[in-house]
Amino acid sequence: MQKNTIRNERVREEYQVIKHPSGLTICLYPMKGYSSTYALFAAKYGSVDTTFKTNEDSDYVTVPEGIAHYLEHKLFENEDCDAFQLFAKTGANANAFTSFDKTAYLFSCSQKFEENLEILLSFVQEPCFTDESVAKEQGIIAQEIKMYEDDPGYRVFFNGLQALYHKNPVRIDIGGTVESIAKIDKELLYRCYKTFYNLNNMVLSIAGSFDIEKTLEICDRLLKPTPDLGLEAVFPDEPAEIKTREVVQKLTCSQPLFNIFFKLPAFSGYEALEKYILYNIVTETILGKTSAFFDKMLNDGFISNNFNVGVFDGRGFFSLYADGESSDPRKVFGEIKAAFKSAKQNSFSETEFENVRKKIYGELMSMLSSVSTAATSVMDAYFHGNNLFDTIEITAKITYNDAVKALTELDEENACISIIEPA
Amino acid sequence: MTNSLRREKIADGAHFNAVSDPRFKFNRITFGFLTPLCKEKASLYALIPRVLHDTNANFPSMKDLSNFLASLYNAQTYFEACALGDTQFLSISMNFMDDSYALHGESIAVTAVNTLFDCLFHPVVENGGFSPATVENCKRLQIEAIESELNDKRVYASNQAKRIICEGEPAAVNPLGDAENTRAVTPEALYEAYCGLLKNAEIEIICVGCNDFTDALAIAKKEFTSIERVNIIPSESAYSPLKSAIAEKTELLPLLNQSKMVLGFKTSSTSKNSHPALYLMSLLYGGTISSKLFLNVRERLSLCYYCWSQIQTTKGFMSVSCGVEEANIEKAKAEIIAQLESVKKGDFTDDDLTAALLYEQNFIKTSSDSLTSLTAFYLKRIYMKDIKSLEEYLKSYDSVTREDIIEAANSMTLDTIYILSGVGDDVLGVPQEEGDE
Repeated sequence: MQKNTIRNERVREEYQVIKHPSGLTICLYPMKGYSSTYALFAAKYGSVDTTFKTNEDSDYVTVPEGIAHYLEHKLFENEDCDAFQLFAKTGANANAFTSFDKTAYLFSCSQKFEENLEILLSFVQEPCFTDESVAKEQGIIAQEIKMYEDDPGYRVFFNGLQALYHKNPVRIDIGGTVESIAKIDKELLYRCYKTFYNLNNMVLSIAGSFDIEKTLEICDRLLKPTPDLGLEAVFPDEPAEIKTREVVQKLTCSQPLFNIFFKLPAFSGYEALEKYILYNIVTETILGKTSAFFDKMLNDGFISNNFNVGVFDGRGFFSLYADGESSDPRKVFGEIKAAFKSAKQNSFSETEFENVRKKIYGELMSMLSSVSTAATSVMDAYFHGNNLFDTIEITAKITYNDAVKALTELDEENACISIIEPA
Repeated sequence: MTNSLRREKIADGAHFNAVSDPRFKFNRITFGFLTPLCKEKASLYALIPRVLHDTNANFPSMKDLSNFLASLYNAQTYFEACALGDTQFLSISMNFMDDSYALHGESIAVTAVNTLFDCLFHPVVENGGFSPATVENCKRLQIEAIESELNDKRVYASNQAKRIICEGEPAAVNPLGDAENTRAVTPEALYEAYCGLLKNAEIEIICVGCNDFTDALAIAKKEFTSIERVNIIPSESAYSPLKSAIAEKTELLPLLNQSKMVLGFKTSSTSKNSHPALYLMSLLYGGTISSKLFLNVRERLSLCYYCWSQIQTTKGFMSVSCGVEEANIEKAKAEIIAQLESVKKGDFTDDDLTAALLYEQNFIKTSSDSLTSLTAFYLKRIYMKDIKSLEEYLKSYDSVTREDIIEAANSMTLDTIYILSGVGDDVLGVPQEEGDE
């Protein structure tokens, strides 16, 4: 068992990364003085992983949209009972989520941690799908899909991704569609489970109040070693340009909602993290609440307090976004492009850059104050090939010139807007 | 779990509350006015924290204050206007990092606290009123916030149902007010209302974090020396009475794929002592992933993705919310009512009760690790005039028996049925790309 201590002197914190003989990577972050514990058992498997092969497959297989999310729903049931019933006996708050590039099963608890960890490790490793239980879940997931179909904030985002990307599967709704999930059966679920829920493709991340030795003892006892299957998930080649400039949908809402995306090439590893921090600082400095742009647009009545900017990134995708509500989203789109163009030509305030850098440093520090955010951030960092403190160190060291250079690499015309108009 | 609350009166009807705990790296200070909710004043009062939070006499420009707070490592101000039973709670909060984590050894805490209190006590005033431009902008933003409730159908349905459940009572008033009364607010009237709150409203300052908050206490005391506090208006809530007949309302919206249903039940139990039993009953019935509603309405019948119950002890009602196919509304309603009847008859195991208790214990203990949750916990205890530490609060659940749960369920009677459904042509609800017909 290989153990590494990841320590950061600036924040005076550390956590352990352990490569377990079973193939699983275990990240353990004890937080002194906290009452609760947050644990995630996660697979590097999300809605984007629709085409893949392992060294046991002769060719690539493509599965129905929404299957990663479907699998997440079904894994809570095992042969004897529902995992929720087991967690009910401990009082833990258990849940799961599927994102574009990962699926995580989690619990938070303030008591009976070891018992909860045993439940988590057991049910995720013991799938049990029957024709009946798979069919039963379709009704529940269909209601979940329909709930999001009525949500303008959700739709404006996903419509925007469909305008941004030609082929990248990030353009597909995480839950799939009522039609696509109808094609899912137990055989497909088992196939995806066997492929992606391999411990070599997973991480266990725990933060808060717990004992490292007892945790490892449970892992030793319950983790079932799995051979590395040489998993390959492939993404279709994605053109550098956006697909569609504008997409509009009508839904019941009070005023238009918009989501604007600026397309950039995907990055990976440490470079992705650097770009994430850099572009967050750049967009926040030029468009955020400290900027002249925000001040003017708010005072002129074109945006509201809920205007947000940032970076939307993950495995195989990277873009900048601005979202909010406006009586004239196209005007906002034009002004944002003009603000980027002006900043490229005339540069931007070094003082405001420094203020934003400190602001983002403060935001990152706050993740170390929350047990759930710390555990989640450790998991995310692992899946991206980094460590939790890399973001803090990059932010501490980034310079004004780095930000100026990043801005020059942005094509403000390679952008699209998604609008939801009131029905 | 956490250090206990230190509470000190700093003026008539104004209290300073602090919980210090070195495990945190951040601090949160919430300054709140508590005032009775009323339709005529709600819009006016709701604007006050919105106007105050992003400027002050030292930083009359929002942009300048935003930059200054960013330089304090994301020391941010937040404002809120929400309902606590029949009370409108108007607050400005600030989160700030501990000095020891600053990159260049800067002092954050004292500057942040001073800035917050400057926003609260030294706003930008022009000709006896707030800045007209700021007020106009805040009015626009408030009207947009009121109207955007419609965007989240779950929240919209829940709020619409509450307005029917508590019809005719202060709790039915939107704590953000309404568009018409917001439009009518003048900078002078708003400033006068602000001065009135400083003079007459109950005020609670709640501080949580690693700081010892001695500076914050000293600054707060100093600010209150120049405020005349008289005729303090108490903030209280009364239980919502059961209607003589069940109120039923169906509202139709265009392009809705999924209906929402909210059922409101009212308790006949009026004792504060019954609150733990009511909470546990609601958890057992529909508040957890092992509850009767989850296991039956969702898992057994596959009718809903979500179906949960929530208890409002300030007003004495329990609401059950779900999203359901329109064709299945009656089936879901029947099952929701049937499951409550089963709890009334005692059709649950001791394990079910233990699960609800463990869930509540876990929830409360876990909230001790979050500044926001701790603030919310102590605010509720202060408002309920039942100030307890987390540990003391949890002890109140120890004595709840199976009979208490049955009694709590039997105290509930259906009062309101609210349904939100779709109407019209769903062809419009398809994304149209640029150039599409």
